[in-house]
Amino acid sequence: MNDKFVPKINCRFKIRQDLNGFLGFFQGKGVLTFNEVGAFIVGQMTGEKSLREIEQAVQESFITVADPKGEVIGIAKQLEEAGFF
Amino acid sequence: MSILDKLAEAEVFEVRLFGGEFFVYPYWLEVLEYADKLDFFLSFVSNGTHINAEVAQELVAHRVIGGAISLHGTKEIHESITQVARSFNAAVNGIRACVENGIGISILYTLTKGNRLSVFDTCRWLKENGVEIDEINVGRLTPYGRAKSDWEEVKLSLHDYLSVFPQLERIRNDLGILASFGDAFPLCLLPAKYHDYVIGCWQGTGFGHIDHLGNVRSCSIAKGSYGNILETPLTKIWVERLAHFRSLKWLPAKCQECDNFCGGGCSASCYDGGMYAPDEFIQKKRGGHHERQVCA
Repeated sequence: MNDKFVPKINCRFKIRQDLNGFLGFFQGKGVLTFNEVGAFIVGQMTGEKSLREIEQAVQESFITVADPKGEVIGIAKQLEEAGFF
Repeated sequence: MSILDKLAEAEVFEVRLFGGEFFVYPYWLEVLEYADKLDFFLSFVSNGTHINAEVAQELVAHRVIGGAISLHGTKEIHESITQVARSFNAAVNGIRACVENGIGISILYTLTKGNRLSVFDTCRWLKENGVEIDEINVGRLTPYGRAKSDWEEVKLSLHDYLSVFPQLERIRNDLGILASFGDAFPLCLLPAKYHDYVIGCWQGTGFGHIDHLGNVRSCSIAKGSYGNILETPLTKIWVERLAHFRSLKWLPAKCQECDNFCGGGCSASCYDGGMYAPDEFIQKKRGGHHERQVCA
């Protein structure tokens, strides 16, 4: 997946913290669960930032994440396969 | 409106507007407007008879993209169940109004002895008459409302339910309509090839029911209440008072340990089940305790 790709989730969605992590509700599609980093990444996928820019945002916000590019690409691929873009 | 405020405080994602019949409530539009203002995802369950183009446009204006409308058979069968003349055409017109305005519609089809063999015919009628539905979900008849008073007479047998699944398969294969069993059902009693047809139930985990007074139930046909959100925060009710339900300790051991976990079937199907109980087809052991499961 090209890191210049600008992901935009194609439905209304909200993410909030739950007891055991983060819950994302995607209108007309369903519910997904995320860890804190995953929730942050998905929250950035609003059509304003490229994958590269989201990766940079992850680096700045979660300095302990070893492979921010892998995290961003991994989530983007899963959402793409599920028809979220 | 105060109920919606409490739901917003609890960060509820989606509000499904329900009844009775939501669209006969004189202030339904005000509720819709207020709920949208609070930024809930919105959907609805209706009998469809009060939905016309104007209503559908209001729904779209308030960001409703999908809903569910009850249809319980072809014209004659549907009206024998609703006992209202012309209710079939009114429901179909409601479905058309939604679809024409871009609202996806799921059909809710409550199974009865009188309509259980007509699921396919109903879908074929819809298809042949250009009524483009997203999906059909058949549901359990439970001892609630009119069915409660003569439950022994009207209740469906296990065989009755099993006869529905081949129809769902035909609807998917021959008509290209997503047909599913919309409620929970004991998977151990169902051939494996139909397990994916059962949507299951997330009562008390994925959704809850709030009545017009603010009382919380795990599902709309469950008995009793866990509390009132106008008196106790929903988060407290949701986390603390549903803890025993979610512990699953009330289920037979075989259900708790089952690899094909189905939640013990439909909690609301058991006539004397209290607030929650194993499915009506999970038999009681002598003494009244649900300990053994009837496995196919």
